[in-house]
Formats: sequence, structure tokens, C-alpha cells
Amino acid sequence: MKFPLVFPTWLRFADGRVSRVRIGVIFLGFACIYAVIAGRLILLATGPEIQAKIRAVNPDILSASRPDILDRAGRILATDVPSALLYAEPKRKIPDIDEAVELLTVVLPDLDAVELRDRLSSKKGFVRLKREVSTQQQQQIYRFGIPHIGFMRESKRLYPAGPEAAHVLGYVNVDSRGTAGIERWIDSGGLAELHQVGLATRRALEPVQLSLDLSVQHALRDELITAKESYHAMSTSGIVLDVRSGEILGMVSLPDYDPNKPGKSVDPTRLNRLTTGVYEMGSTFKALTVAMALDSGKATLTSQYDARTPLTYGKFTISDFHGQSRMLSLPEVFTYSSNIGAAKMALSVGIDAHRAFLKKMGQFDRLRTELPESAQPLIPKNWGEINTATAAFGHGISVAPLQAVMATAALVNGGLLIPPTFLKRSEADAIKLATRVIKPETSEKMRYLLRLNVEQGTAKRAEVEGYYVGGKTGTSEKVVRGRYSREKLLTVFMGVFPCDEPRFLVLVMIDEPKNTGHSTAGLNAAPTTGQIIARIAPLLDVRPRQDLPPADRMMTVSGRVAN
Amino acid sequence: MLRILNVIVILCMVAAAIVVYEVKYQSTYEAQKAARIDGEIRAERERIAALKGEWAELSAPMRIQGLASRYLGLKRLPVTRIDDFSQLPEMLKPIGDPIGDIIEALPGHAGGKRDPIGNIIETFDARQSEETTGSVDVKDKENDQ
Repeated sequence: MKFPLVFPTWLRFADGRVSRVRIGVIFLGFACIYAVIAGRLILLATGPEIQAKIRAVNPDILSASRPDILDRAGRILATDVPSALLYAEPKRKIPDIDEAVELLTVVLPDLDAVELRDRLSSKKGFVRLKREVSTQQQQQIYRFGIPHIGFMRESKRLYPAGPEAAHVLGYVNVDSRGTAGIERWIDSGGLAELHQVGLATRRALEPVQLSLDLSVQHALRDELITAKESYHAMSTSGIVLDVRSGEILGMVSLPDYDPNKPGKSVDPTRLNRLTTGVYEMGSTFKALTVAMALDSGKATLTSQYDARTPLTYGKFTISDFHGQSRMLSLPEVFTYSSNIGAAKMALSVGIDAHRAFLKKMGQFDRLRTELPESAQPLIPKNWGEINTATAAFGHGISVAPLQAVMATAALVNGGLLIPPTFLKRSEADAIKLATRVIKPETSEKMRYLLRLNVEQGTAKRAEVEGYYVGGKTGTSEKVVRGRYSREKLLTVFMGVFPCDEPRFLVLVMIDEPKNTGHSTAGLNAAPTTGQIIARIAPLLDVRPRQDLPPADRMMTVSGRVAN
Repeated sequence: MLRILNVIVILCMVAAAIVVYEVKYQSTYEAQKAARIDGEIRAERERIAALKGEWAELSAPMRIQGLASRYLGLKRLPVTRIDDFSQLPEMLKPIGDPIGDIIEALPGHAGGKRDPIGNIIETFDARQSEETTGSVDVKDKENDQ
């Protein structure tokens, strides 16, 4: 074979013939390289990393998208809706600024002409002119054909129910970052990081389902608004809690704000009093005292307490509001709401045991929930006899109302302290988190006492026929300039229903009711709670019953509740 | 031998080039189509989000209550009106046919009773005592007994 020029010398033998073997080797070499390239291509095209990358450059990414927030029935509490942002690029020279200003203010009358002119004449590369421009306005502005002005799509956070669940939901700032409430909690779960990596697509964001029930929330808020008006109160607030799962079905603190316009939320009077405020919960704490005494075995339902004379500690005197001035049995201490009786009861158990019990009930530590806002309870530093005596009826110790609700729920649900939550949770999950704080038998006695208090005691006005409401009133004087004020009161009611097998707890707190005739909890917070229960019970699928035994028969007939 | 191989390789190359060109062209077309559909999907999603938001706003309890109290004149349901089916009284028996009863009761009519007027009174009495409808208050029941 002679190929004079085609093959170089290194492919030839010494005599000039071409070496087939050498050519074959080169063939093989190239074949291998191509095979490797082909193989690698196939791997790349089908491998998982490449698919992730394809998704990453998907235009579906909304830089500011957030997950929807739903209530327990799936109704939308917060969602992202698309909106248009009008922007300009002044750096690229808008030819006729006067004309542009004129045209834009015609379509968008709420734009300030002077400010607009300033912005358009600036040297910035990008200025935002107006958020949430409607589709029609967009069309009109397009038609003007003003150069270097355009629209950018962005998502806007919408709270369809307005102020209804404001304090739970919180709100977002202009950069769609959650700054309060559940919105902030969502961000703390790593959403901000997701945004930075650019992976927060709409589909990747699973909706957050809360324990709130929008209908309950609305009914609660509606009743609290009525109460606020009729008692001329500074504030009213309330919680509805599922005592078996620790889920918060409703939480309202008035006055509130509209999370769609969160400007007002910084006003200190609009704070969420239930988690960020601490209050002396007054006589509702007697439920804890009685439960402690019964659970310790130092007292029974027939124990007697001497309430004939007030207790004195130095210049401080403990006396009774509904004074009976006689020996009172334990149920009477509860239903007459005797401060003297409660103080003596707590002292009979002992100071250290009392402290340990309150600690166990979670009253000494800051209660953390999903909401970032929480408050540290105010506890006297040196806890002495007088502190036990006053804490027995809810004075001298300030806790967040939600904390007190958690403890009261434990008294009636069979003795399990369940940390409250704003997220949907099953009873089974709740039991895993629960700690046993009192015996089931004690819990049963507490149900009886709470029911008895509605039938015969200070809480008569909370009764709703057929729902077997139980509850405890609490009225405390607020501290003004270091001393208790006679005029400024805080009234609280803890209502439980149905009392033979409690499912829900309703707290109503009225801050500074000014209606002189209705100043104590039994006259304002209790009837408000009754109204709320009458309204929410049908929503919560609790049927009114007709064959309910009076409280006195409850202890004998309700053996089945014990488990 | 080598020459044939060369020719085959060149033909393969040309064929491959044509195929690659075709595939590339196709893929560009498909990519454009995909991008368009993606855009449509995104637009649809945004519309769905907007509509869902709007629906949630329109069906918000506060708004519904406002409208209902303004236009419907509804009142709050008192708890006492809620009841179980088991509490409902028995359904009324039809009154029947009083005249027919008279004829049937006429002497000589097969199987008839002797007292036609008495029959009518009985029917009415029966009806009177069943007049109460709806849920019956327990207390009232107890008083009756």
C-alpha cells in the first residue's frame, strides 16, 4: 500500500509503508474518547442534579412568595396575590418629565405630584413609584407610552379576613418578611434562607395550617367588641382553647389592627395582651389553689376554713369581697370566692409546696408558643408567707393570660398540662407533649366545683342552658402608681364547657370596665363568656343537652369521666 | 477497505449533522412552546391566587355578617332552638275521612261501629292532644306528668 502524502511518517514503517496497527490504535483511541463523551452527556441529561438546576431557573420563582396560612377548616387567612408595581428608570433620561408627571397623576390621583417629579428627576437607576396598580390603570399607563416607565409583577400579602386574626397572624414588611406573629414564625423556619438561594417557588411552599377556626375567631371577636362597647372598657380580650389538644381555636385582643395596613400595630394599646402582657389574674387563681389543696390530700371537699376574720400581714390586710364572716367549707370558699379561705388553704399546704405547684403548672416560666411575642411572668423575688397568701387568690403574681389558660385547662382535662399551640394538632400528639400535673380524681372534683360555681356561686350569669358551663370569676384591682386602685379593675372569667366532660375553655378578660354598675367579673366577663359559648358551641359541634344533672349529683353520676 | 470505511464515515457525519440540526431546531421550538405554556400556567396560577384571595375576602365572616344584618333581618339562633331528632314528637296521623267514617259506621254497614258522631269527636280529641309541635321543653313535660 502506498499513500505518499496522507499519512505522516510516524504512522509508517521505515520503508514507507503505512502501519495498519498504528492506525487501528488511533481509531480505537478516538472511539473511546467519543464513547466517554456520549456516556457523560447521557448521565448529565438524566441525572438528578441537572433537573434541580432546570427547576432553579424556572421563571415560576417569586422572589417574595410566602406560604398561604389556612385555618383548621382550610379557609384562607393569609395568601399571596399578584399585584403590579409601577417603576421608573430616571437614569435613562425620561424626555418630558412634566408631561409624565401630569399623565401619571391623572391615572393615579393618590400620587403626590411634587414627590413624583423629584423621583423622576433623580439620577437613580430604579425608583418605585406605586404599588398595587390595578389592571385598568396599567392599561391606561401603557397607552400613554411614557418611556422608561414600566410595571413589575410582585406578590402582595393579602389577609382576606382583615383584622379578625390580626394578633395571631402578625404581618409582613415591604420586603415580604414576617415581622410579627405566625408570619415571623414562618420566616424563622428557614424561609428567608430559601429566598436567598432562590428556591422558594410557589409550589415548594406548603400552606401552614393553624389551629384557629375562623368562625370561632369571628364570633369571639364580635362578642368582645360588643362587650368592649357596653362596658366602656379600655380593652377586651379572649381565648378559646381545646382543652384536650391544647389547640387555640380563637384568640382576640382588642383593640387590634388590620394586618393589611399594619401601620397601627406599633401603637402600644394595640398589643396582644394575651401573650405579651402579664396580669394579676385575680380569683381565677383560686382554682389552682383549690386543686393543689385537693391534690395534695391536705384537703377534701368537706374541709372547713375559718373566714371570720381578715388576715393581716403588717399593714396589709386580706379580706373578702363577698364577705360571709363564718366558717366556710371548701366548695363555699370557691363559690363565694373567699380570699381569706383561699389564703388559708394555700398556707395549709405550705409555702414550698405552693411554689413547687405553681412552677409545675408553668406559672413561673415564660410560656413560648409559635408566636414570637411572649412575656416573662412577674414573680416576687423573695417568696414568703404573704406571697403564698396573696398568690392563692391571684394577687402579687402576674402571668400572661395564655399561661393561666394552660393551667386551668390542665385542671379540667383530667390533669394533663398541655403546651398550647397555634398549629393544628391531634389529641394523640398533644398527649405525647403533656405532663401529668394533678390526679384525674382531683380534676373531676375541679369540674364539679366549677359547675357548682355557675349554679350557685359568683358565675351564675355565665350559664348557657344545655351546655353545662362551669367557670371561675376573677376581679383584680390594677396597680396604679404602686398601689391598688379601686376604680381601675381587671375582670377575668375562665369558662369551661361541657363541664362533665370538658372540651373547650373560654377566657374573657375585660380591662378597666367603666360601667359602674357592672364592675366585677361576675357581672361583665361572665355574661360575655356565656354569650360567646352560646355562639361558638354550635360551631364546635357541641349539642345542647336536656338531661343534665345539677352539680351536686355530678360527683355521683360521673364516675365514667374518671379515665 | 479503508476507502470504503472513509466514505461510510463521511456519510455518517453528514447524516449526523443533519440529525443534530434537526434535533436542535426541534428542541428550540419545543423550548419556546414550553416557555409559552409555562407562562400561561404562571398567569393562570396568579389568576387562581387572585381569585382565591378575592373569594376569601368576599366570604369573610365579618363581611357576611355585615350584609346579613343589613339585608336579611335574621336573628341569632337561640340555643334552645337546637334539638335532636329524637326529641321531635311523633308525626301527626291523618285525620281521615269523617263523612266516610259515618257511612261506614251506619247500621248495616259491614264492620262499622255503632256511634258515628262519637267517632268524629274521638278523631278531633286525638288531634287536639297532638297539636304541640317542635321541641318540647323538658320542664313542661315534667309538669304535665
